[in-house]
Amino acid sequence: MSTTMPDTTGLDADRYLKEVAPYLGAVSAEERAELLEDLAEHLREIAAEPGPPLAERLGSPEAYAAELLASAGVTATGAPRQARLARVSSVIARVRASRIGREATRLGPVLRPAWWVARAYLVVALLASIEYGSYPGFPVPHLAGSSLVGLIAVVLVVPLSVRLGQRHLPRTGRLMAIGANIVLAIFALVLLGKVRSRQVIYVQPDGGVSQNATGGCLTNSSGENITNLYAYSPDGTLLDPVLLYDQDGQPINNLCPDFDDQGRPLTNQYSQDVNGAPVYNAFPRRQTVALQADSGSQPAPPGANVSVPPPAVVVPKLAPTTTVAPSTTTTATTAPPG
Amino acid sequence: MDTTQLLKGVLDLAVLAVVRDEDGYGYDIVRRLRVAGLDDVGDASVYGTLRRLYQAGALKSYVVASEEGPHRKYYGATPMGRELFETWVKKWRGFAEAMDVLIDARGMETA
Repeated sequence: MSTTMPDTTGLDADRYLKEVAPYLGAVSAEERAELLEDLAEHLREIAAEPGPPLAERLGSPEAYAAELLASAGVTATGAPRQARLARVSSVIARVRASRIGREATRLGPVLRPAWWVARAYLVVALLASIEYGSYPGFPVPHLAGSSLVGLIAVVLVVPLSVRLGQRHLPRTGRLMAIGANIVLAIFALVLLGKVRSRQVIYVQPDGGVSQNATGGCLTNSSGENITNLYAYSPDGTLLDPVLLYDQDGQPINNLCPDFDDQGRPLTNQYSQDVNGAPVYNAFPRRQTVALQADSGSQPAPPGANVSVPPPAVVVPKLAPTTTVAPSTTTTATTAPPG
Repeated sequence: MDTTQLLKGVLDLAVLAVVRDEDGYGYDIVRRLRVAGLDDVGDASVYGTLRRLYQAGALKSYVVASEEGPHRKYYGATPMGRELFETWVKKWRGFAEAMDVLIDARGMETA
């Protein structure tokens, strides 16, 4: 036996113990802790003996746990629960034995760390969308008014998420983690949908996340979507850019600029803050429209884009008394981000 | 017949038989049982049995430091364990005899 063996064998023992531990769930917490502590020593002892890895020598962790519980005469707390667990684990075993299950089992351990990193990002992205009511700053979450804060938050949450993933959680903790993972996975799907359709995610007053659909789009009196906003000074100069807020200081960004009035897809380019995060309430947005080959008599080359020009407007001459209304003066709370 | 089922009933006796004369650590006890012919004996069963016998007072245990690997937990029979062993041996002999008779009688009938 070489002197370097205990290092690797210790790891082997710890890994096997981790796999056995969940199957010892039916005993009382106190008994379980004691059993695990003893078992850790025992497995390390076996792993130090020359031979193949523990998983090969000792068989499946589930069978090992069952054999151990039976022979140790450990009193199980609540037999029905144990039976229920056994049924669940038999279903899991059958799924695992299937072809997809085997592939997932093979890929699972490889992909888990990637998920730990991804969910850290999703946590911050979720916070960002709760804070703003939309999700500004994709792909870098925009938190507390800055994408730098968002980036730092992601960097800080990643190691926490990885540690959480590596730790063996008690039963309740594990269930909570699974619940949180499901929420984040759903959020990721919503986020993907948003990125694909270039729409904005809104958080409803009740906290639920929904995608900007028919109700959330800013429309004109005819019910058509307003695709862009243009502000002019009284002398007719186009103000570019302006930042628009509503009466509550919320940024106005609920435009659905997906198609122009002829149904052609619009591509939007948003103004950016100093950190490079898009500012969705800066107007007018730069828009281009993709020319479709069949839309006109002249065949356009594929991928040709044309900028959407500002509308031709005639600004009314304003009477001096109405230029400054007290209620519309900007307050400090509506200062633009950044 | 599945020998693991048979083993379940006699593992206490087998383990006590192994440590009766010479103390041993977990893996060593498994090895001794296998060398004796109980090939199907599993580590988990032996370890569980050791734990249970120890908690019942039939076994004593102590840790021996090892230079090349982790410490080893040795098990040995206590006086109570030896007593228990004697009782079980008697029971086993009676049981085995009855089984032998049963098997032989049946065997002759069918022959």
